[in-house]
Amino acid sequence: MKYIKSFIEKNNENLKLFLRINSTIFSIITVIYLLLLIINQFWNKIFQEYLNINAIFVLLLISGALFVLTTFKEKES
Amino acid sequence: MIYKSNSKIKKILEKIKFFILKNKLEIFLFFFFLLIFVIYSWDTITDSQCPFHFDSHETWIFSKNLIQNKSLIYSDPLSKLFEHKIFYHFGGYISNNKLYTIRTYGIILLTSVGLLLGYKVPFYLISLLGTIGVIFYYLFTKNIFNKKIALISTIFFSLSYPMINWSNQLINNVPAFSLFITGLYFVSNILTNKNNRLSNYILSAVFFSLTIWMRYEYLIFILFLIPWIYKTRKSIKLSYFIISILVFIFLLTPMFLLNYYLHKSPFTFGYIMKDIEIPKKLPNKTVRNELLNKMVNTFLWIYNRFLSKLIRLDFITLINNLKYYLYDIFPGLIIFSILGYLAIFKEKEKNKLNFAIFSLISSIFWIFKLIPRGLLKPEDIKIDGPIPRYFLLIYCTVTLISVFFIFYLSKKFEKIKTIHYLIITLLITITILNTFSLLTGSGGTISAHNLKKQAHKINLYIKDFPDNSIIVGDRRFFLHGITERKTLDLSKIEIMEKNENCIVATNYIKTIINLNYPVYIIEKNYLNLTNYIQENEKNLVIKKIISEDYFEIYKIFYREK
Repeated sequence: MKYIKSFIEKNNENLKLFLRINSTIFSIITVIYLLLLIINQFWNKIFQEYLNINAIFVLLLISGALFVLTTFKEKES
Repeated sequence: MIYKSNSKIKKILEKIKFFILKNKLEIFLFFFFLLIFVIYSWDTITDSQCPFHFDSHETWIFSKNLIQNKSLIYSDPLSKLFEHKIFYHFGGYISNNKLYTIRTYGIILLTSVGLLLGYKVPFYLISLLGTIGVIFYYLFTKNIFNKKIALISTIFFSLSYPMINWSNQLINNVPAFSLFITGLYFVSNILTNKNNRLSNYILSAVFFSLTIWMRYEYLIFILFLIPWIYKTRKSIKLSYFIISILVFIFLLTPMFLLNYYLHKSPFTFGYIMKDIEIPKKLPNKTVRNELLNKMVNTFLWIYNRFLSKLIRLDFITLINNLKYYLYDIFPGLIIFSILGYLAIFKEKEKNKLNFAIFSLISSIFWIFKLIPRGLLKPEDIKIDGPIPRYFLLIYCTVTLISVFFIFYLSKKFEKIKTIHYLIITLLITITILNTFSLLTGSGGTISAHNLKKQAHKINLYIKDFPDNSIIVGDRRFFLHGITERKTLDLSKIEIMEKNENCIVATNYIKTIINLNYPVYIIEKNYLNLTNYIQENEKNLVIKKIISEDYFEIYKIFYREK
């Protein structure tokens, strides 16, 4: 725990930047993901052959979880 | 005079305008719920309604029997004459040549009341209960969250495939869900400290007990409310709470009495009697008393069915199967519901947190209980199968939590409001497209609608046949939609060899004709019985009397000598 705390303190600025980038990425991926889902309704072959929509789902889940958990911390501070 | 009347009209118009502007939301909701009722009763409105589903046919037969014979036990005197149970082709279990229902008493009573008022009324009652459920879902979500979240989640949930499909069928899942959500609304009034009157306690008890009359498993969900009640115990008046429990037990007592009357044990339902495997396992020496034996069997059955198989760690199978029953029905919403739960647990706001805990416990339990244990493939999925209708409670919480998260996002992205509106627009588009593709897909509502329309047409034809006529057919083709005359199911003749099967079927038909019953055969049936009789039975005459695109009806009688 000590090492983690000291790591966070040392890289505070970098982490803040990372979280800000993450929130931007999250909003962009959300819109892209929803757009892809609409395309999927009309033309689902594209996802079977060229693109795995589940990968975007997982990516969105991770960045979303990070976004939700960290925005609260910011509010606290 | 003209001037005066003009000013009067102006005043009235202004008043109407003021009223509309003041009650915009209420007026929108009124028309929305009206639209929902029309969608939920679409099959009935378009004259395409009949108890086509296997379960609904059983409900129909027992309800009719309740009106005609004042009994919950169905008995057909002709059944004794034949080796195979050709007249007991709907659900239920047979004991001493009598048929006992495995459907809940609630749906049978509801259908009976409806049937007393008219042929279509039971179907309208289901649709009406579905609409009432949606209204109380809105009110409940408004209590826990706010108006905006309530409105959007109600639109998502009410227009989802499972609600539209199962509100158009004579099945107890939608009524049970609606009664439960109504009870939940009255409970939320108490638990959120909005209204702590005795009426709320009594109404919640009444609706919860009615829910159990409809579907027994909802008792588990009522028990899952205990953590919520415990956490908000300070807002509960103990005397009122005790009164509500007494009302709850009192309203359930007739159900136990009916169980005792039918199955000789208060806790044994028809469904348990059908699963006779567990009682057989119990050693008779240990428990000699029949009543006690049955009660122990019931609890063993509940343990085996709900608890022993609950723990499983094969998460790959679980997630794979959940994809078909959760993600494919609400493709855009699932991700937001997961994040929504995270947000609620982080924010720790009292009412939302309590609701989230309740919904999470209920959902996890129900998912672990119901999702099939084998790895499903796309070709195994029957979207019109049982799971989507059992999952209504899960679907409603998923939509609610995900809509909450969308509004949560809008708070976080206050500077870029367009993203919020864009996400909502995209989600609505996806939901509409997805619902539409599910409704029109194979096994969806539209194909069921067309089949029911055909069965309804057959019913109109056979209404003109003599009252004691018997319709011979196959339950896989239309037979379950026939309600106007007695039916004989050929698929109940469990002989594999087709020719031998035809011989038995023909002998049965001859016996029935000898008893002076007019007999009609409905094609298609898997035996192709009409051809067999024409080729092999010279004593019998087969005459085609009705011919349509999807079916033909033949009259069969002895050749005059």
